[in-house]
Amino acid sequence: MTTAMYLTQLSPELCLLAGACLVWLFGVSKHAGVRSLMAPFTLLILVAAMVCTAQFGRPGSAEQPVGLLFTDLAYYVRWATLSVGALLLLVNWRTPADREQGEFFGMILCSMAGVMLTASANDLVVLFFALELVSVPTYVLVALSRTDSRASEAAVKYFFLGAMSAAIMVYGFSFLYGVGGTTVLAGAAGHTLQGYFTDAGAMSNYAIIGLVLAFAGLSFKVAAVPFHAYVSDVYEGAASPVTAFLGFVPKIAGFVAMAKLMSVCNWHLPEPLVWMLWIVAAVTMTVGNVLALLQTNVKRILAYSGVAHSGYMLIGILVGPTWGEGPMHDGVAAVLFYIVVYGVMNLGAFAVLATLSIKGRSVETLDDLAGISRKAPLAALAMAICTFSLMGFPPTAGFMGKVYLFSGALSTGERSLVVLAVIAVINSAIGAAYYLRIVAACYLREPTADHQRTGGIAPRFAIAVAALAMIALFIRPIDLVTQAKHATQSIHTQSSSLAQSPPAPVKTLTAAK
Amino acid sequence: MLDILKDQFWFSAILTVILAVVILGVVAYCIYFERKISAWMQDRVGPNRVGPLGLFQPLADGGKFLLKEDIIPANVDKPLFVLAPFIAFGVAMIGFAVLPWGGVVDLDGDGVVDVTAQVADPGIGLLYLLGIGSLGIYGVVLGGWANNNKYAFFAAIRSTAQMLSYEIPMGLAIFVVVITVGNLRLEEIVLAQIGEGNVWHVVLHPFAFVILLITLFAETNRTPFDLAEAEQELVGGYHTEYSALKFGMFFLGEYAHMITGSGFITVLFLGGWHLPGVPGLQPGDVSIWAMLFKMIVLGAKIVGFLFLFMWVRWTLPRFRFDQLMRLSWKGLLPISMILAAYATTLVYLGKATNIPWALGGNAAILLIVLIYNGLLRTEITGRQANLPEVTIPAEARS
Amino acid sequence: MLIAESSLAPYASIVIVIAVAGVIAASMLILAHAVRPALKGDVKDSTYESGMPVIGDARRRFNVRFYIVAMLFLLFDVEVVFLWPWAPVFHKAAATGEAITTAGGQPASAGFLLAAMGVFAVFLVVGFAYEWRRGMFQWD
Repeated sequence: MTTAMYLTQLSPELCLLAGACLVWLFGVSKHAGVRSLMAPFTLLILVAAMVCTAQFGRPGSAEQPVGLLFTDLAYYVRWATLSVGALLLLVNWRTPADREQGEFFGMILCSMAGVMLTASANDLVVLFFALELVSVPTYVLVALSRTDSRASEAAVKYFFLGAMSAAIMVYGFSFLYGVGGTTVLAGAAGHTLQGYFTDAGAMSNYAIIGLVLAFAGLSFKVAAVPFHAYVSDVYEGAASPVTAFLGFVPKIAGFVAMAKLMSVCNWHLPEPLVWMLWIVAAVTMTVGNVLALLQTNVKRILAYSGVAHSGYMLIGILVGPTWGEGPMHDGVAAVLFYIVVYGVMNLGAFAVLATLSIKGRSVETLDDLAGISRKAPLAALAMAICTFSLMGFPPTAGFMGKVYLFSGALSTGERSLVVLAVIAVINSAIGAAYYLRIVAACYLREPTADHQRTGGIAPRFAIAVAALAMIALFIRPIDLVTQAKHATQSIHTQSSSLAQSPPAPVKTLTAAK
Repeated sequence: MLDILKDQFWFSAILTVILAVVILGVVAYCIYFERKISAWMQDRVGPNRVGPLGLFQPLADGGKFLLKEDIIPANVDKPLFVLAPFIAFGVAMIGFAVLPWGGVVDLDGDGVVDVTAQVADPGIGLLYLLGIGSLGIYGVVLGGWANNNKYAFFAAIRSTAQMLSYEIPMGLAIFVVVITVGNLRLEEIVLAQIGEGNVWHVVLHPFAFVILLITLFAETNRTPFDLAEAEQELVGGYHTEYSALKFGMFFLGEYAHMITGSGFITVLFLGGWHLPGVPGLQPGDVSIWAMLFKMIVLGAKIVGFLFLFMWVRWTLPRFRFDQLMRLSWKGLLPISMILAAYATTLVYLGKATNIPWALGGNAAILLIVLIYNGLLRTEITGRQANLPEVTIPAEARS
Repeated sequence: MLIAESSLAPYASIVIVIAVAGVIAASMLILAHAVRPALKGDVKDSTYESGMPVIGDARRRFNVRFYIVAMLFLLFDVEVVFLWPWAPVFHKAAATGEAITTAGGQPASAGFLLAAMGVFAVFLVVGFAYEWRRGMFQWD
């Protein structure tokens, strides 16, 4: 492994980090003209990173560097992050104050680099650093997103809870290191944690403690119960474009890290841990939906709906991959597909809120949304498409995502997972109630005051792309699904000894009955 | 007896006791000399009543410290209040452990080297010295906090900020030596300045030497960096509430710190116990007399630095706080970063001990700094920008 | 003497130094405590504020810039802490011209070591420039 190869394989992440440095430096320029160029410059960096990914990011048979593993998973997550990230950048085009553009866009780039590193991390230490690289910039983004005290409060809450969750997670990692004697996750050569769990057979209690703590820390990143409490305040306190960012970037990092940890244990968890995840999934989707029903603020509704969606995606993590039989039977591929779809539809919904203002402030409550179809028919239409997608209603990609997730659970034939899928379907029905309230407010109610358009052209373009993508992914999801499928397979071929037989979905549940 | 001494452990133990006593004595007389030198510079007589030339003054001072009433005010944080002088003095007294006082020694003259005239010779000697130096901050911070006095509190946060700020350029200036020598062992650093093709590091990197000297002044809280005890603003600074021997321990600690710091800079840049061309001071001289000679030479260099400390104290006025911070963060830090990068480059090119290269680079960096400062129009901001115009009345002008 | 022959020998000596310094400091405090007069009084026990009646407590909020200095110190001191152990390794690689085996088991030439530290330094310098421009070092 030469230095040059190492650098080319890492070039997308390096591109983002170097770009972040430049954005920070130019962001403090004395000239307003230079500062105003930061958003387009950030987009340019993202495009450059995409070019690097296309050029060097393909996983090859090349020797892998220490601590990192460039697989199809990394390839998929890189593309997902960069493309959804580009849309998020468009939505955030005018969010930061003039003097803070450098910091703001630099933080966005760092956070994305963190997601990409999470996907290629092959070492507990690298994984932890990557996840923190995702999280720490988001705290700053929340604080920078607007100048009122709610944003500061949200940022401080988010920071303290995030720091606590990081501590819990790294404490769990220390247990895993303790039992396994190594921090390397997987790989063909040498002593790895995956190899340890394969050889060890039954999992020791310390390993279970480690996994529980690690999952607890990751639950914060994906906003799963019981680490969901921050969501409503933080999402409401941050400006809408930043909230859209929070809905995607930490979540994809959290789910990818969860999938990695699960693959380290060969998707064969001890029974109590499986039941813990089962309960977390069920409670998360139920709590999210019930709390969302009670809200009148659209941002809080979407925040709690995000909690519910995390619950749906946890099903996929629990199902695990039963690879080789198509997308309907692969829980992890369904998660990877769904997280992208969720990021885009969530982004669309928040972007609509961000591009409209009423009485001199941005649209936030259901009353504010009343009658926007008269003033802004296209925005209302995009809102409707994204909301239907979040609901999981047929002509949108959200439907396909839910089909993959739930059919993955059903196809395993495990009774408990089938029950979980049924709970999820019931929850989707509950969810329809509050999603329809949003659509009803847009179309059926009379406007209470005049709406103004804000934010310029860039977020509108992002809304259009998001809405069209939702339709397009319904019509033709297969390309993205195939990529997701490749990505999950690569998780398992990491360990050559395990590549012989597909891992079974969590069997222990049936034994418990 | 000699056999026990040939064991490094016992040799170190005895050396420790001797050095501790000597340093305590030197510290006590430092205070006397400080007063004598200040008197000399101000054309006064200075202490002259206790004994001939006032030479017993330190004893009288010590007795006074011991017998005075030790007031512990009611609302201080009592454990920390007692702990702070203990730390300030104790930490200052352990820094000398790694200084190489006299090279290697052959005690019985049989041609075999028995011991090193150094209390301890760990592989990370330099790191130890820097760490001990940083611990000195705790005495000041804990003292200022425990006082529960506003003056002391301001002094404590000021002085913490000051010591933190100056520690970074200090670390980088030392890094210049570390990268040139490639070793953190202090004895090796001395030996690297001796012999064919080697010179004292002050010849190679005078700029780094100057930076280290400045930061030493700041780290020991000496004028012009004595903001922690700026009498005119902060009464006694961080030791406002201290009296009697607790105050005395801060006082002694400061001088002990100066001695360690002087020894430190001597070893790093001025060849330690070595003088070029003087017999008895070469690495090959290992007799017990050579050891004593080396100790005397190192001690003389340290005394020279102590005189410099005092000379500066009674010559230069104190910095204002913003000047202090500007000097460190906007002056010394970037310069020392450039110096560190330059020294690294020299090592990479294999010119680490090449005098023209090293000196030329230092001169170039100095030139850049001078030009930059010449071109710089320091913007006057903040409170100074809003000061009213000073108008001198016409009658006062004449 | 067993300990004198082990690699911990220097540290044993350092422990002795610390003990000697501690004993000297502690004995000074104890001696002073034993011989000093102790005459308590309300005025003596009050905080000294230049003779004025004491107003409030000294435990109060202070300027946020001090916190910034503390954070910057952490940042730059980590740099120094990284540089120092790196220096002997780099010096060895540069002086002998041979590759050093890193912890990962891979050979690292002097050029590689220089580049690795260079990347770190560049990030640091970027941060330094940014802070300077943002007025973090502005105290007047």
